[in-house]
Amino acid sequence: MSWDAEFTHYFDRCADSMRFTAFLLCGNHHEAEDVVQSAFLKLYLAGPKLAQREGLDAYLRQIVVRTFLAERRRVRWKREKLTDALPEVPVAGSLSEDKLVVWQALSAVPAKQRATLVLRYWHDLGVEETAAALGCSVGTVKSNTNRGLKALRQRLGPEFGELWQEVRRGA
Amino acid sequence: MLEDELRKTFEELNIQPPPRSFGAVDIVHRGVRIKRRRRAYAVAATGTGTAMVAVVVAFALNQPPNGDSGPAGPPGPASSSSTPVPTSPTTTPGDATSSTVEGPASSSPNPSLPLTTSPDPMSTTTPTTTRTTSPQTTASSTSTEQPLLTTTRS
Repeated sequence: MSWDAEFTHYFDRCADSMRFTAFLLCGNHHEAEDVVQSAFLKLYLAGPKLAQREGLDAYLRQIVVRTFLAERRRVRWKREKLTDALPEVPVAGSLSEDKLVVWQALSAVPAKQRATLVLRYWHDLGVEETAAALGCSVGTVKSNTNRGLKALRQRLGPEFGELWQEVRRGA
Repeated sequence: MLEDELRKTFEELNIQPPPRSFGAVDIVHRGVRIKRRRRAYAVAATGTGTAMVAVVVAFALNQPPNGDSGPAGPPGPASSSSTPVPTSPTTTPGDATSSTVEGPASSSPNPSLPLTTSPDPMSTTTPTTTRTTSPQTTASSTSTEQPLLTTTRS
């Protein structure tokens, strides 16, 4: 099987999940599509040189996360500036109110801490796997997780925890 | 716990994803275009580099040589006329011995040799050759060979 056919097959299988990962990282679908396109393009260019094709999922996830972080790391004058709110808010209709609050609070978390939270609590990766995907040490992953959760709690406020406990008791 | 709330939020977000605006064919087309562009850059860079190296080598080879850095040539006429080369006496019997081994005819002065005594400004070895072929030295060499022959026969 040629690399083009193999890549097309792999794209059809993984594009949606990777796009959702990028959406969790970026916060909107437009930027997520740009990140996923760049990541798949990098995978296509690097594909013939890959020695083993077994770990493509982890490799592509690593490319997506690092592309997102590189995009956020770029200097401010190179990035597109949004002068107003986007015309569509697709998330608001599908989320309940408390989830929407969590989602909006997550957008205020710094990029690397957000990437750590997404990898650990959406992909259920361990500390070592998260460290490998982010290219940092295990201690950095732990501290980023701690700081990200702390920033979320600060953003949500102390009443969110009490509210969540009441919802949990009622359920 | 906040971690569980995060997981539930992520799950709810994944229920209705919007349709994709790109496909695998778009990625492949872009990739092929990038590969072609990279190959063109590589070919152009290689050709330019080769041409530059050829120009540098040609320039270095065609550079005119300096007078000081060239190989040493023959000495000029002013240095040859200053001092004649002294002849060592030890070399003269050796040359005479070798001439006697070849035969007595060689010991006689060869009329074809340039034995003219006219001063040649270019060659400084002309007085040396006239001394080695003198009959006085050949006579002394033959007298030294005779005792050696008598001892081997006895």
